[in-house]
Amino acid sequence: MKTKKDDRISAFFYAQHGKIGEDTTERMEFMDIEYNGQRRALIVRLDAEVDHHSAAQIRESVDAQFLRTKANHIIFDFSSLQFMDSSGIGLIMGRYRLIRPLDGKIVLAGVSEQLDRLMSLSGIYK
Amino acid sequence: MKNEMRLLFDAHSSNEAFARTAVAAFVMQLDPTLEEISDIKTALSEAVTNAIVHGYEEAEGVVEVHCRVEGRSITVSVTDTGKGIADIQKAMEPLYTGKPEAERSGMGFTVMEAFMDSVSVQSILNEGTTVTMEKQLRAHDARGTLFSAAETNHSEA
Ligand SMILES: Nc1ncnc2c1ncn2[C@@H]1O[C@H](COP(=O)(O)OP(=O)(O)O)[C@@H](O)[C@H]1O
Ligand SMILES: [Mg+2]
Repeated sequence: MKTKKDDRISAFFYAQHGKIGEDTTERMEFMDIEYNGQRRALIVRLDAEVDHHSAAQIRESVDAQFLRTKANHIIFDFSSLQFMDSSGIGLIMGRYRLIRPLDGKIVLAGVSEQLDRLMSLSGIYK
Repeated sequence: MKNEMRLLFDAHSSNEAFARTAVAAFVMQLDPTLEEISDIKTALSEAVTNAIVHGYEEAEGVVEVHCRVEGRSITVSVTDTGKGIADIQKAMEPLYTGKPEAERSGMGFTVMEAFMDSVSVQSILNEGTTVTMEKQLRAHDARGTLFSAAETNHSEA
């Protein structure tokens, strides 16, 4: 699985195809989903406790935006994350399955030390 | 000193956050580090989620959380009276999930084992499951020193 735990957005995105679709931002109580047409990337900022309960809602919103924008990449920004358990790992792996056929990437940004321990356990950086 | 508490709640996914918060509040009496609190909340969340998702398969049921502190050691157990586990050893393997279609990662037990000192599972098919986890919190040397220093100052004043 190609993921990067890098606070900067990879230069990879700048090298992508021209802009498709309008840049948009959807704001919800527990997250923002921004679409960057230039980079064909969805930027998902989670301001939430990610567990089995909330993962269902997050998944639904991200997938709806993914289908609407035809994004190639998904950037998860965890800098405002309040909690995450292995349901979040399932959520990330599920989105990876969505973008894999598009040759897309998942980028994990704002990963705290605690979250890094969880991610490392699951081998998600591979 | 020993101190115990029990929670009984309906197997609704919205109660996962409630259970984490309640256990974290109870454990605060031991003045844990942020990392210890986070470890306990994560492990507890895994066990409660498993009771709801796998034990009761998101149907009706009651989850019991039992929490006991003694000295600096904490024991948390999570019990459901749901479907039980046929092969505990297999269930505890990293990446094993009985529900791959539900985007489960199969990492729940692995997380519990990594974030707590010990995890044991008792289960009877069609009767239910109890997961018991223990963690020894770090001794509070630094804080103890701070406390006695403050007291010394006070008596001098
Ligand atoms: N309380 C439970 N009741 C019945 N089965 C359980 C319970 N807890 C765990 N299991 C079984 O063990 C498997 C592994 O659990 P876990 O490591 O948390 O992964 P996940 O929840 O992602 O499937 C589950 O998929 C399920 O089959
Ligand atoms: Mg689980």
